[in-house]
Amino acid sequence: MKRFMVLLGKELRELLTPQTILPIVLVILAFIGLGKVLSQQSKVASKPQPVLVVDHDSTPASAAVAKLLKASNFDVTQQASDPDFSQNIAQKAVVVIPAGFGRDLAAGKQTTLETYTVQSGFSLAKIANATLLTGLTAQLNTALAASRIAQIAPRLDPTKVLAPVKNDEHIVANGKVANISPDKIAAYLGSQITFVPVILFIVIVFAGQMVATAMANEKENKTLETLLSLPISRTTIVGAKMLAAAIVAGATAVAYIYGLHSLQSSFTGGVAVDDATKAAASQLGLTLSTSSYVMLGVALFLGILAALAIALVLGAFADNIKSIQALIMPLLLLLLVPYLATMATDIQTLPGWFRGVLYVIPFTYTFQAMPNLYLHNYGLVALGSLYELVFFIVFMVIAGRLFASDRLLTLRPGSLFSRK
Amino acid sequence: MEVLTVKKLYKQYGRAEAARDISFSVAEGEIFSLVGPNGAGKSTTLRMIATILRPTAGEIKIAGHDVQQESGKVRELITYLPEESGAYKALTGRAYLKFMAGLYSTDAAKQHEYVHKAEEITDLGEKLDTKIGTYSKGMTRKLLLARAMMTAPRLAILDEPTSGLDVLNSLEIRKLIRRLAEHGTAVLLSSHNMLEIEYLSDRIGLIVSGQLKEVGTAEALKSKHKARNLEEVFLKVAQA
Repeated sequence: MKRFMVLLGKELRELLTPQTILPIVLVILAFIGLGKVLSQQSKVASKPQPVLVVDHDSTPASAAVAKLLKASNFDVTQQASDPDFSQNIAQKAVVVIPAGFGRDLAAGKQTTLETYTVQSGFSLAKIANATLLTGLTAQLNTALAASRIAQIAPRLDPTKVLAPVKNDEHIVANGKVANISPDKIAAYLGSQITFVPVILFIVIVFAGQMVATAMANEKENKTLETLLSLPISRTTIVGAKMLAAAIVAGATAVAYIYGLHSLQSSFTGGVAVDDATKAAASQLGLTLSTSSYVMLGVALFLGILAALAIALVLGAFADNIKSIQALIMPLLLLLLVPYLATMATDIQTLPGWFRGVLYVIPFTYTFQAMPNLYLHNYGLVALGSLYELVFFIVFMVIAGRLFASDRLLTLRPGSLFSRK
Repeated sequence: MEVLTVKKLYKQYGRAEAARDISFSVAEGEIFSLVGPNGAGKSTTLRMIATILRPTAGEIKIAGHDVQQESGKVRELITYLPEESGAYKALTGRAYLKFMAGLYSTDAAKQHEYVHKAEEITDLGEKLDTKIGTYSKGMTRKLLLARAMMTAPRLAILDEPTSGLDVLNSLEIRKLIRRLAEHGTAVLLSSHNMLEIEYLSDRIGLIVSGQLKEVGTAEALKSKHKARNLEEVFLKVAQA
């Protein structure tokens, strides 16, 4: 045990150098900084957007358009004419109400509003800004239709005439029912469910490279042969390398969780989820208990261990640090396939053969752990973790055998493809 | 007393035979040198004795322990200095020695003794507190040799111990190897440098194409082949 600790200390000192710590700190600072910038942007975006209303009509009907815009959180400037029209449309949203607008409406004729929006970029924020006026006509039509109904049939409720059918939305989960829109629940839980795969992806790529590089370093620095001749078992060598990488990966995961949490909270602009949504989620059992968090932690840790074991085996083929990038590709592929599949689709609807492939890959279970825990599929999570553990043990045995054989010194990247 | 005995040792890499029917022994306090051209099988033989490679056939025993069956015990009795070896550049020289001492013994007093001995051997003084990455090749080699010698092993396996070193450093290291043998350690080394071999070795083994062709003292080999020096012996044996 003492020898193991000595070796572990050396491995940790090798891994925790300024060169490895600095990028992690920088990424976390970048996440936090980016979160603050996005939060500011979110606040700017929620401010009333400027719009110029050029009213050539000047009737109560045209005034109603300006009123509706104000009610829709626009900063409205009204002008009867606009000599600088071509300049204005290049700078802000403009709504042109033609002469005769009120008269045509009163006569029951169809009339037209001209809207101009500025497309100054194609980011999500810019696209959202450019479509702000799109819903205006629909809102205006609803308001005008309600006013018309009130004139023609004062006894009728315009709201009920325009929307005779109302959707009383319910959501069913974990065998329970709650009276809330699925959109709200999806928005509330979605961000949390996508959070785990992102963390796992970043940490596994980082830790995988770290452990494979540790192996390549031993070969490149010509320390491997000496290490193998020392009075320590090969299992101890493999175990110390794995544990050191797992400790650093675990610490990195915690640091990234903190950084990403800061970044993620900026997307909501600091706006708290409403109490009704939280209450509905709780009513549906869509919350994580302490034991669920423990199961999630275990699934995450086993996912990282499985990745480290694969990386250790792949690292045994490395001649030098340069070859690590190419050697680590299979691990990236094993991560990318379930990552995309679980993010974009429902695994159960995929073709059988593809589902089989996904279930062989251990990371599928980690990516699926959080949604399964929300849906109380504890057995699936436990089975997934068990599979990850078996996968990890199998790869550790392979790594142990590699270390105990000549292959560690005689294997080269090319031999992966040329050996019969 | 024999510390190392090698009997009918074979090693194959696929169809290539790196070592064929090699047998020799090294006694306590003896320096035995393996001499041969590049690719003759010297390093492969040393690696098999150092428990790093598995023999295809044959037997290696160190102080009565079988290298394959009791590799753990054997590693406690040997030290191995590979030809192209390095040290962990992020560690200081002293931290490296402490790390190695911690792997050879769990007893703190013993570890201290090992480190103290290694400090004396390296003669690097305060330089031991700087990172190995800043060391010259000679300093690194001395550090590695000190690591190999500090535990007073039963068998020291030294592959090209003075490879790439200047004359002064080489002389110093040869003296250290001599001193190690005088204290009872059996030394098995390989070298291309015939002067070094002649100066250091009690016996020499000439290895060609994976076969041990001749074994004897420098004088006996020169006399047998009517040669003025070991280089001539080597040429005659290699061409035979």
